[in-house]
Amino acid sequence: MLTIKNLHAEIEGKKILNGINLQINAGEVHAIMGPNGGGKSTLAHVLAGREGYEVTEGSVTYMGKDLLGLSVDERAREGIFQAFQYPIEIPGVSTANFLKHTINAVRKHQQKKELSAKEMIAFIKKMAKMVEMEDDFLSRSLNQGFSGGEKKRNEILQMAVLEPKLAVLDETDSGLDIDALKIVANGVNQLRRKDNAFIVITHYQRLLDYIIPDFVHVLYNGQIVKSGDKNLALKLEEKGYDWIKEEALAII
Amino acid sequence: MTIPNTIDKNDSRTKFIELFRLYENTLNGQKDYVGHAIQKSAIQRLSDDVDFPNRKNEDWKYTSVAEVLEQQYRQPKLVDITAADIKPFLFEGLDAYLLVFVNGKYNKDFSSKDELSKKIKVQDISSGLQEDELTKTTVSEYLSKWATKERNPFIVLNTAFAQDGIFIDVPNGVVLDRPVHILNIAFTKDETTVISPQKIIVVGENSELTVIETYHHLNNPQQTYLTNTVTQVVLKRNAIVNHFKIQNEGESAFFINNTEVEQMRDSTYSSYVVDLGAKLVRNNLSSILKDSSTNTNFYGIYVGMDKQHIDNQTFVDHAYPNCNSNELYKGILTDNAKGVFNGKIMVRPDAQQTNAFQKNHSLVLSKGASMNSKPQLEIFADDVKCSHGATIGQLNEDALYYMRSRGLSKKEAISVLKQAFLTEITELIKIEPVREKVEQMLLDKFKQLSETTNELLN
Ligand SMILES: Nc1ncnc2c1ncn2[C@@H]1O[C@H](COP(=O)(O)OP(=O)(O)O)[C@@H](O)[C@H]1O
Ligand SMILES: [Mg+2]
Repeated sequence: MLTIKNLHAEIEGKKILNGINLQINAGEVHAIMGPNGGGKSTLAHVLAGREGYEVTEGSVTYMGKDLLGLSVDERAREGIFQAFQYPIEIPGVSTANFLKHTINAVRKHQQKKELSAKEMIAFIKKMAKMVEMEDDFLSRSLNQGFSGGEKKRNEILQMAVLEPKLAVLDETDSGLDIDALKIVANGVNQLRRKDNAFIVITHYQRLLDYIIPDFVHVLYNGQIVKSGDKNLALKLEEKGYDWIKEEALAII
Repeated sequence: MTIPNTIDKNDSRTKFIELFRLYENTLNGQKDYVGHAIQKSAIQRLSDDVDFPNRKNEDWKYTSVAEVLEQQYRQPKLVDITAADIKPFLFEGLDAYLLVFVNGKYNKDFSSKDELSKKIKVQDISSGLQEDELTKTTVSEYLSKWATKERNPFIVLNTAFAQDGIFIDVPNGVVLDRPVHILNIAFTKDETTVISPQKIIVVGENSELTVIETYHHLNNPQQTYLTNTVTQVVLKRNAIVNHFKIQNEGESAFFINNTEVEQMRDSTYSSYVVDLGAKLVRNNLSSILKDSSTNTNFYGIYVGMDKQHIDNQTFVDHAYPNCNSNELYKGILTDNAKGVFNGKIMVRPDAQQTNAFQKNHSLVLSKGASMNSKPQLEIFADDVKCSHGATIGQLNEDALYYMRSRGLSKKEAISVLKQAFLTEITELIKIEPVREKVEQMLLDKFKQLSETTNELLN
């Protein structure tokens, strides 16, 4: 589904990604961990197509296409979804209205059957229920005045209604209490299918108790310095990152 | 009448005086009726006392009417319209009494005057002045005032040229069951005309009225014309009026709207102004509070593109205690469009416990576009709460990115954000078919904008 080869990227002339290699197949969940400032969010932004990040080397192939040649909205319509670490508040746009706009845009592009107004509302409400969001949130302005946990659940709701092929969750768990974390994890688990894939960026192993990853990678200094299965996350939890940093330095 | 020798041939007033002479010749036998005497005194006053403003005039500092005045205007002709012509201008799903004006003249064919007359008084001014006592007393009071005392030259001009205006009188204690939609259509074929709609609306004690004035046109877009309209609204004790003015004139039109409100004790007047069309727009909206405990709400939306110039002048005169006024104007400007907002609030010495709030927010989306916003608070009472605020901003890039990351194209995302910016006002429109129509008109306008807009974002 996604093949990242030797990806180098910089922002404002500052090198942040220094040769990422990653292969993601349909049906897989990849966790990306690592110390702050390692480049995890940058990788998420580069995959989603945020302007300002310059790819200086390498390639990203998504569903056989050159991903880097597509704009952010084209990627979204092609099935890429980024759950933001810091979702934006948009006053004046109700959550329901926003969801309708995006669902239409994505479905139309993917040549899926358009939903009637009635089907649309039913679909949105069903998904809202899954992330335990009350209906009155839907009529409120997007994210405006939402608590941190509500914003994150709203991200999962958007993911649920857009049915992406590849979802990148950037620290969706940070700042959540255990109940909210379970809701988010449960949302992801319900959406896991054979034909989609997830990249779950997280600081904490505890999320991975609920979303069981197929692979765990450590991103440090803009490179994936270690990969393993879910046990790697447990080891990181126990021993911290220092041993990884030392190993990485030894290689250089 | 005589034209004073002192007047300069090139003076814009000369052309209107000439035009008035031509108009008089078409009146034939009607010259004697009382309305004509008023028209005559108005044109006399225009030649003697009041002149059109230039930019040295403080209230016209940012708006030049030179182009408006240099035209050679004609009085509009009578034209026929069809039901199909007016259909696009109606509010789908709105059950309203309809009054249609074509080129400022009341058109009986498409109006529900008979039905409306069962509930309230609806009288065309020209015949009312001759036949009807109430019209004679109430209407001539305003007409004479405009002809002899008015300082605003455009009101004087309207008084001189208005034909077949309308007088609406809601008796005491009548809550009208449906809104009155006053549809104004400009259809001047290929003549540069001056259209002079005139409305006098009196709402009695404990009565309630919703009036939706809309201004549309059937002209080709290049056609120049001037709509110079005067609406007087009087609210008696404890009356409620919701007053909409939705303007989508032709792109080469000039639109000057003079709305004067008088409010008696405990009355509530709410104005909703939406300006989308016309090359030059000047709205003069004022409310004179003539007793205590009144509420006044002025809401406005303006969207300008190309070289549109949209000027909103508002004035609330607080002279009695315990009155509230609340103003919120929001607009979006692109290309080389210019916006002006001048909000005057006068709080006179006796107007204690006044609450007066005013806000004006604009999105200015290109380097060539600009906004001049000026609050003008003059406060002579000490126990008052007054505030004002004005901002000028651009679209929020983070919001734009967020929406695009969910699959909306840049164009769509921009359109949603523009709409969102105006939601604070559109959501105040409680009549759903009206709100939906306004939202649709905004979207249509945004579509026109999207080709040229947002150079700041590129
Ligand atoms: N807009 C930016 N401008 C300059 N430096 C940035 C910007 N965004 C991120 N960085 C830098 O890039 C590095 C990686 O950041 P980030 O990708 O956010 O890491 P992580 O998500 O792993 O904590 C950090 O050193 C950070 O300071
Ligand atoms: Mg991060």
